[in-house]
Amino acid sequence: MSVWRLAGFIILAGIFALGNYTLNAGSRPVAEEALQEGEIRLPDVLSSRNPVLWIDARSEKEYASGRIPGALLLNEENWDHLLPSILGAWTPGQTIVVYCSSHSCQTSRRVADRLRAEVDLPGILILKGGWEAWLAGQN
Amino acid sequence: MVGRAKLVETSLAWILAGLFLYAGILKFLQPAAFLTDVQGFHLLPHALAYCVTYYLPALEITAAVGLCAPRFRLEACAILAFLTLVFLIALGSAWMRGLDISCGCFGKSEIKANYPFLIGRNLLILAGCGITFALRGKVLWMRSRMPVAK
Repeated sequence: MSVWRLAGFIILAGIFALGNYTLNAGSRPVAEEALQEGEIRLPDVLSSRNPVLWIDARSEKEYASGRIPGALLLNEENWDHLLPSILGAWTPGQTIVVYCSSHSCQTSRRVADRLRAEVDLPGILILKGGWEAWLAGQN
Repeated sequence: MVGRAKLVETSLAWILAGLFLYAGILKFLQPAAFLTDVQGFHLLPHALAYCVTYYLPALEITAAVGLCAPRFRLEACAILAFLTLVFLIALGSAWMRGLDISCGCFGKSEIKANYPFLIGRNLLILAGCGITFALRGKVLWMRSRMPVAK
């Protein structure tokens, strides 16, 4: 095995990476990923005039260690047990915003989809960036 | 003997090259989506995650192309085995911390991480890299011992 060939791969990959970075930097910042369907950013939730019902789709342990004030727990593990408290807390005109731990978690999307499918409540959205976005907004 | 080893080595190398090329191109074309996947592991600071987002797919593609050329196969195999090993460690760490991640292995096509499946699949890829590396080494060694025609 040749060290020079290894170095060649590493350098060549660096050149490709720089090229890709240059191409993407010209369009839009990579960190600002576009909103997917049904998602909302934290500043838009906070500036909304509608009252918000926060739903925490993370595990019970994570919920207990910290959550958005007023958020109610609803996860797939205890769905049947937790759903009645959500239905009881929701009032007409409230926007439901579901969140999970971060950008890459998908539980909030699954919980939101299941809520839309099983319960006929309007305006169910997903918080972009989840709990991490909330924490970042507090700093 | 050399012929059979070479055939297995070449077949494995082409399969691995196709796999890594596909995975690398998907991530190369969608850096924003891959960045969120990298951040989901909570292992790297943002600046480093940003660098990994661009560098890792480029290295995957370069090494995958290198696998197709017997002259560069050993080095390409070593790089891909190393990347797979690092990814296995990251997966194990995420599993232990109970993270809900999208693995990002093949762009956004995989929605939720099924840890046992992902770890099993990557162990298989790692084994493939190891076998290709060993066979390539064996072929080169056997060739070096062959008598040279005068």
